[in-house]
Amino acid sequence: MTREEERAAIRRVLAGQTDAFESLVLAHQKGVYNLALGMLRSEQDALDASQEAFLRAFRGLRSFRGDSKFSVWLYRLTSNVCLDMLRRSGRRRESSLTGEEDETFDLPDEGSDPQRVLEKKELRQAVREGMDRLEPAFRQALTLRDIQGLTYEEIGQITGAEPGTVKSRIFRARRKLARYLTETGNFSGREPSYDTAKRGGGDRG
Amino acid sequence: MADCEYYEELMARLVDEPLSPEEERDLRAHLRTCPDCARLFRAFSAMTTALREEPMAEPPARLVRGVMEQIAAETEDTAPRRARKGSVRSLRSWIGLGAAACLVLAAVGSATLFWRQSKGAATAAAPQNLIAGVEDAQEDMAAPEEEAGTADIALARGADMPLAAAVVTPEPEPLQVCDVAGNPVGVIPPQSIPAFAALLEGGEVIGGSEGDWSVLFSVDYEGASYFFATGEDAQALIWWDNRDTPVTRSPGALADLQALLDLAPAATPY
Repeated sequence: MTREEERAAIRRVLAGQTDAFESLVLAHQKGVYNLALGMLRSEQDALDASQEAFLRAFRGLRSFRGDSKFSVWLYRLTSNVCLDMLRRSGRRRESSLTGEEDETFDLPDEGSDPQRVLEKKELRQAVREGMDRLEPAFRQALTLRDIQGLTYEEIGQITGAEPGTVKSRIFRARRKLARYLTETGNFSGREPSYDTAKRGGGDRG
Repeated sequence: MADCEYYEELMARLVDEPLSPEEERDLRAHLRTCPDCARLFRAFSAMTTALREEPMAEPPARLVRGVMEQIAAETEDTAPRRARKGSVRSLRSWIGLGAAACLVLAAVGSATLFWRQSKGAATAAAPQNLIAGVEDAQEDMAAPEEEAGTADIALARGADMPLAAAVVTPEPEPLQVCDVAGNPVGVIPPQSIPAFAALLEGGEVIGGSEGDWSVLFSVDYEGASYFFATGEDAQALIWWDNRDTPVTRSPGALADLQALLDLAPAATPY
């Protein structure tokens, strides 16, 4: 969905054609759901949070002024819903992304080297476990940056934090996660490489 | 070690931004001599790769369904309060109606426009083809952001019908007119903005509107979007904005609004 199509859909909804909201949900559900999943670590909670976020977006669509991306505005609503849920639950959520749920996260093709497949799988599992142990604010920042590919500024708009704060939060999250991986030793022992450590423009849309 | 703390920070930064040549050289040298940091660096590399490659999960199909069902339920509840339902009239067909109305107005000669210079500072040329001859010209219908030293606007009213305003203060930006699909179809030129503001001030607040009406287009004005609609007979105009204000109705504003629009020749009807 281009920005123009998005704008057109928003106008149609505001003009009373509420069915047009469906195209906005379809275009953004993956980003919203994955942000919620990253923060809440439960598929059921992520579904509930995503639906609540879209409903808040519908009810508050008049307040969207178009000075930020619609997706960023939606992520902010999603983030607030997730924080509310985390506060209400009053506890750090344990990972429920284990067992058969793991299947949905596997890449379809890892090549034919079974050892490589196993290493990657173990690594992902270790990273997820490490993410589960991060404070929600750190986990949220890292999800938005490394999984959703947003800029510091956009993350600041979503979380209400200054870009400098966002940056330091992301760095601290990475350090915590890297330390967790070295403590558990559950990662590939290949040689360090600047190429793999650098982001290298691999933003995801 | 304090040194290791520093290099750890460099590693966290390296994921997002290049280090300076000195920092990079120092980090490489440190990694050769410090097994702990070398190990941590491998973790950074592995973690970054894993996060970037983390596939996005597919949301369940019931996400969309649930949202749209809830919206349908909520919209039913609030429909009587606000104008929520209606068809979408082809903009072109409406333009046709408006043009016909204008012709009739011209024929009976009741269309009057008036412009008046005030505050003695304006030098703008009088718009052409304007007809003076107004009984109760209203003052203070000026542009919302009037500057000192510019001329005022007066809305002219004929014996029975408000029509349009003239201009003096050129506003820098025209107002964007979009069809209901959001496509730009024209503008309200700067000189017509005061008259547009005056039009919004008029009318009768009716709170909501049920029945057959057609959304014509929207106009962005002062941070809000105004939506205009008309009934099947194309007689009355209703409008509302995106700030929860009640619906306003004006029986005579249709031709006024038509006169203010500067539509692109190839305006695509919705």
